[in-house]
Order: sequence, then C-alpha cells, then structure tokens
Amino acid sequence: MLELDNIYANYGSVKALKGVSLNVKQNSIVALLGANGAGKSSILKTITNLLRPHSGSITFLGERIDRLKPEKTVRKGIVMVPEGRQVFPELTVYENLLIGSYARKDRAQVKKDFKFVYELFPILHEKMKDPAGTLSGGQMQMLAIGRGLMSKPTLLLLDEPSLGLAPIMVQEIFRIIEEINSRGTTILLVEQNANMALSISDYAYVLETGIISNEGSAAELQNNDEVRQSYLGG
Amino acid sequence: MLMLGQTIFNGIVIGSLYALVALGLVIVFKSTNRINFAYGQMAMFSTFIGYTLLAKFHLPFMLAFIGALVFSALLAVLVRNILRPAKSESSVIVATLALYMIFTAVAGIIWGWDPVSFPQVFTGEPFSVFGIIMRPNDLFNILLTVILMLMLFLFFKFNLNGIAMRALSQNLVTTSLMGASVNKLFTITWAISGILGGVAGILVAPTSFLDTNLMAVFLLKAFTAAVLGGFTSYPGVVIGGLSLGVMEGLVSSYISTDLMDTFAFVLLIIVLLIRPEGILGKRIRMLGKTSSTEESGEFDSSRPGMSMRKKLAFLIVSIALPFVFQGNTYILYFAVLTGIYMILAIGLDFLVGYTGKISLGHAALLAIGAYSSVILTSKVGFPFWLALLSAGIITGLVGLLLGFAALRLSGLYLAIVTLGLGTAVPQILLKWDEVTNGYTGLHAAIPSIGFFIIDTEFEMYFLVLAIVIVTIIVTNNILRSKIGRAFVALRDSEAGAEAMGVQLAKYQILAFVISAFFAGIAGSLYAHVVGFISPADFSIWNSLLFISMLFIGGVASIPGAMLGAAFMTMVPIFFAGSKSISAILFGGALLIIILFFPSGLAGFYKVGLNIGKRLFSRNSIGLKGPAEEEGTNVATRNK
Repeated sequence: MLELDNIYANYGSVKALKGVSLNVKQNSIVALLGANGAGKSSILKTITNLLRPHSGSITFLGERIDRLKPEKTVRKGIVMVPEGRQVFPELTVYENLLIGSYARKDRAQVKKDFKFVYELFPILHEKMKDPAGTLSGGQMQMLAIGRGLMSKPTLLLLDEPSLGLAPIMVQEIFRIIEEINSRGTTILLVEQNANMALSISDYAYVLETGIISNEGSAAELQNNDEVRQSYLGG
Repeated sequence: MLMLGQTIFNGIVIGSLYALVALGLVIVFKSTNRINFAYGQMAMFSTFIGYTLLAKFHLPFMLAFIGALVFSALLAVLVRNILRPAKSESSVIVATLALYMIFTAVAGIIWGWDPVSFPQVFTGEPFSVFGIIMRPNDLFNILLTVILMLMLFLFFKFNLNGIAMRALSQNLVTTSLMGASVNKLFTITWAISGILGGVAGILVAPTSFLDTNLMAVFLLKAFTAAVLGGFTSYPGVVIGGLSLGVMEGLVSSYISTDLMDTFAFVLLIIVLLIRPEGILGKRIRMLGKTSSTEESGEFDSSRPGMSMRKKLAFLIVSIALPFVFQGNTYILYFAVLTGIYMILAIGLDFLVGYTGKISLGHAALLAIGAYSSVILTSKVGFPFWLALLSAGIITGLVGLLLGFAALRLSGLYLAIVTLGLGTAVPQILLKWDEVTNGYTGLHAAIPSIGFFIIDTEFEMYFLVLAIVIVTIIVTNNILRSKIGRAFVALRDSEAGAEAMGVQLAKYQILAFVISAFFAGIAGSLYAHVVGFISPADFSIWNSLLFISMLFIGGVASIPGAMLGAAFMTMVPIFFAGSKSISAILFGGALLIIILFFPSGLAGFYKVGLNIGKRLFSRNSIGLKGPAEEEGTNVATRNK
C-alpha cells in the first residue's frame, strides 16, 4: 500500500534519513522503533511531506506522493496524528474534530463519523463544548486520534501516541488503535514503547541513526536478542 | 443629560469605524503574527479608487463601493505576497513601513496631494430620537459595521474555513496536516482584512476630506482600540473601538477639544503600562515573541572596525570637502544636514541595530530636541552650547520614559507606542501654541560658541562635523565596552542574556536614553542650522525616513547608519521638486533591502561574496532554509 524507496532527507546539514526503504501492507499495523533521533518521526514527516526528501521515492496505492504538499496528501487518505497531540487549544473539542474533516466533501458521511468517533471516545462527546486546552493529556491524545479519524484515513500515521501518558491510559490508547485497525484502517506507528508497539503490530522496522538496522514480523523481533537488549529491556 | 446622550451616540458612530480598522489589523495579526503598518494607507488607496469610480466614471454609489472593496481585497492579497520573504517580526514591520511610503507616494502621484471631498452615502435630513440628533449616514455606518461584525462572527464560529483560520493562528503545521491549504487560508485572511479596511476608508472619508493622510491618525486610533480590547480577542477589539470613540467624545465635550487627538495616545500608554493584555485579551507577556526567530548573525558585533588608514582617509575627505565647495552653499547646506541625520541615525541604530527594538517616533524625539533648544535659547537665554546639551538631556529623559514603557512590551507593541509618540508630538506642538507658536513655527537663534558666531554653512559644517566625530567616538567606545556586549546579548536572546546575569531592564532603558540623547542633539543642531522649525518638519513621515536610512545603510553598523543618512539626504536633491519620486525610491529601496539584503548597503559586498561562495560549494542541495541560512551566517562570521 505504502512504499518508501531509498529515502534521503536532511534537516539543514544534519542527515536525518540515509536511504530508508520500507513497505506497509494494506490493513496491517506496522511499527517503527528506535531511539531518540533515529529518524522515526522524520519518516512520518517525509510521508506527509512536512519534510521534503531530497532523493528516493514514496508511493501510495501505486501513485508517487513525495512531491505533494501536506494538505494534498490528506486528500489521498494519509492522515498523521502528530507527536505531542497538537490539538488546537482554543477551539472546542467539537471544532477540533470538525477541522479534521476539512478536506472532505461528503458532509452526510461526516455526521456519521462524528457518531463513530464519539462512540470510540465517549469522553469527547461529554466534553464536546469545552476548549481542547482544558483536556487532560490522555483526553487530548484521544482527541488527536479522533480528529485524525475525521479525515477518513486509509492510512493513519501515529507519532508517539503513548508519549507522556499514564500506563493505564497507554493500554487504552493501544486498544483503540487495534480497534481502528480492525475496522479497516492501515496503521503506521512510531513508538518508543517498543514492547507495547510490538504487542499489537504485524511487522516492525528498527531504525538507528537514519538507517533501518533490523526488520521483521513482530514475533521475530520480540525474539531477536539484539532488539530485545536494546529496546525491550533485556 | 441630552448632551451626554449625543456625545455617546457620536462616539459610537466613530468608534464603530475604529473597531472595523482594528478588526482588520487583528485578523491578520492573529493568523499570521504580523502587523500591517501600511494598513491605513491601503485603506486610503482603495478609498481613492472608490472616489475615481464615483467622480470620473459616474458609477452609482453602491457599485463604486463594491468596486473599491474588491480592489481593497486584491491589494491586501498582493501585500501579503510581497511580505512573504520577510521572516522576522522586525523585518515585517519595516517592510510594511516601506509599503506605507510607496502607497502614499503612488496615491500622491495619481490623485495629487490636495484634499478632495468625498460624498456621503445618505444625504437625508438629520432627525431626532429622544432628543439625540442622528443623520441617516450615521445610522448607515453603525448598521454596516454591525452587519459586518455579525458576518465575521458567524464565519469564525460556523464556517469550516473560518474555524480553520482560528486553528491556523494556534498551530500552522497541524492545520496543514488537516488538509487545509495554509496558503488559501492566509489569502482569505488578508482579503477579509482588506475589505474591512476598505469599508472603513469609505465611511471615514466623508467625515473629513480625502487625502493621502486620510487614515494616518485613524491607524493609531485603531491600534489603540486593538490594544485596549486585547490584541487577541475579536469581541474585545470591538468593545475597545466603541469605548475609545465614546471616551474621546467625552474628553472633547467635557474637557478640551484640543486634547481629542492626543487622548488616544495617552490612553494607549496607560493601557500598555497597566494592563498590556487589554480588556478581553489573554495574558501574554511578550506578544509576538513566540515564533519566527530574528535573523541575527548578519549583525556581528565582533567584526573589526574600519582600519586606521580608512578612518584617516574619511577624515581628510570630510575636512577637505567644504574647502572644495566653499562657494557652493547649496551643497554645503546639504552636507551639514547629512551630518545631522548621521548623528540621529547612529543614535537610532543603538535601538534598532543593537537592541532589536524599532522606533517609529524618532522624528518626535528630534522635534523635542529642536523645540527645547530653540525655547531655551530664545526664551530662557541659554547660550547655544548649553542649549544643545540640554536638548540632548531633555530628549534623553523622554527616552527614559519610553524605555520604561518598553520594558513591558515586545517589539510589536513598542513599535505601536513609538508610532503613537510620533503621531502625538506634532499634534501637541500644533495645539500648544503659546509655547510652540503652533503652525507658524519658531525661529531659531544663530548658534554661537563664546564670541565665535556660526552663521555660514562653511562654519556650521565644521560644527556638525566635530559633533559627528564625537558621536562616532562615543558610540564606538560604548559598543566595545561591556555595555555594547550586553546589548548584543540581549538582542540575540533576552532570556539567555538574563540567565547570564545581564540586567535586561537596565540596558534596555540605557539604549533608549542614549538613542534619544543623540536624537535631541541632532534636533538642536537641526533647529539652529535650518533656522526655523514647525510641527510639519517632524511628522511620522520623517520617522519613516529615518528608519529607511538605517535599513538602507545597514543596521548595527556605524558606517551603515552614516551611509544611509547620506543616501537619504542626497537622493532628494537629484529629484528636487518631486516628493513622490524620492518617496517611491526610498520605499522601494527599503522594501527590496529588507526583504532580500538584510544588512543594507553596507552589506552588499557580503551578499555578493555569499552568492559566490554558494555557487562554488555544492553542499546546499536538499532542504531549503536552515542549511542555507546557517551557511550564510558562517560565511558572514568568517568574513
């Protein structure tokens, strides 16, 4: 479904990605693991073109997307839930979700999707008139994911959804990610919490300083000594 | 009681116009973090378009009105695109000032500098409601304003683009991730802003005369309204506009009509000092400091000064000059003026170049220096040299006050306050005529030191030259001392410098005092050299010229400031008789320089050098932005 072929990208003179190739299959959950600064988020940014790759190609459903502006990739069905939630604090919960549907034309379906998101996250329905800035960290993460869903993604990119959340909330978020996936949305997940990520994903890539150092099915990586020592706590 | 009602009604009529202009400013500010100082001139321009449609093409009023608004919206979008290369807050401010000059000059060329009268929409007979006299036109103003505000409210509350515009002001990148085109949203924002300005222009024009200065005072009042209401809140801004209108009315009917125009400025200062976030705004300590880093790096305090040999050469040339042109008083006169402006520009550079604060009120400081010096010599009987020094000190004290105000304000608010000072001082000079002689102006005494009377251009030249040299030496010594390093540290990172123990307050105030002191000295010299001063010599337009001097010459560089002063004084000589052409030239040069050559004339050779370096190095492939900017900085430093 999504294919990155030999992607190079820089932040100024700093080389963030040095020839990354990866593949995301339809309806799967794929995890990107790695330490801080390994280039996980950069991969998501090149897919949405917040970071323009200077060589290599990105193909989505058979179409080159590496020269599309961020707002155009959304229309192709790729939606990113950015790191650190990034909800709009002064808009209400409802308005945040509505903005999620900005690129869509099918207004009738949008109404149904509101219902779907409120079912998935009842707390958002309860707080729909509150400014998003008043939510707790976990609720904000839910709002960010819900807002992403309102764009009706075929591929959802999640950047560190567990960041800064209490363990119980992390489990809740991952349960919801699985549920979203089971309804037919493909997921590419960036995570520091490797254990948690591997527990729900089908396939995973391990990044080290801009290169993919390891890849395999979740089970393979869980049993790989090197990966276990580095990322899974022995 | 009846009079009170009438005053309040009139206040609301005018206040609703303040609110419109303020809304137009704030809408752009909220989503782009930019303040458009050319906004008033843009409104003036589109009002003239409306005027042409009415008077030349004889269109019905409504068609002309709509035509002007369409033009206004397009003009705003154009301005938005012109401003795109400007990255930092201060470069945006300066670029809009350049546009201010260009629009004024172009309007002057097309429609002339003389006021014309603009028809009212409704000319019906006034009628009375509960004893309050209302004209149909007043009601039209209020109604139109209310409708526009209601439409805006609905747009921001329920329209997807409106909500996206609010989202944009909170988080640009994430908004684009929602599938919203940032470009399109910005265009809508500016177009709305343009329409609001256009409406205000057409409604304001019939209340006075239409000329190139139509919106100049109005812009300051709109700023005051915006600040009063809190720059970030739309309802706050509307309340701010209405209450400013009413308060002004009360002041003029119960206290003094003369105070009306300066009242806005006084109120502005009070609000900023007491409650900078306004009535409904959110608490923001340093508004506008959040995003967009200033492009420093091209200002390098540690670069070596001019070599001894170059300095000597300059000195010899400047001493030789008057002997070469001894017979030509015309050239000498302009050389003297150039020297005076050099002193001012060096002082202004203290503020702009070394502390990163923009002052739009230096003409006002020049005026304070000039008037104090003239009054001290002619009415108090001070000798010239003492008056010169006193003028510097008095103006320095004004700088002290400004410095205190500036402590709580970021670059943007400071620009607004200084704009207020620049607008208010000429007004005060006009109104306070028992001391300043109003419009007529004052004659200045011929300067003399001891028994030596300085009455020829030739002698004045040396007087000014001596003071220029002293100024340079003093400035150089300050900048190379601990104080200079503290200035640069504060400019580059206030928080960082404070953390290192640099006292922000002390140095910031000091910069204002020094800058104002030099402006006062320059003002005193100006008065005695020209021999005659009047409020018209110190309008806000002159402040813009001074800012242009600095940026055209190159900020944070003494030779740059001097070069700029020379350029700005000499160019009008070649275009004598045409205010417009030199204004367009200055505005255009300022715009190009601020957008593309941030280090000014003095930095041209560096830019050339960098282009050369870039051509020969191939490491700048890939991402635009940080890589190249860093490259530039390194190249500049290495130089």
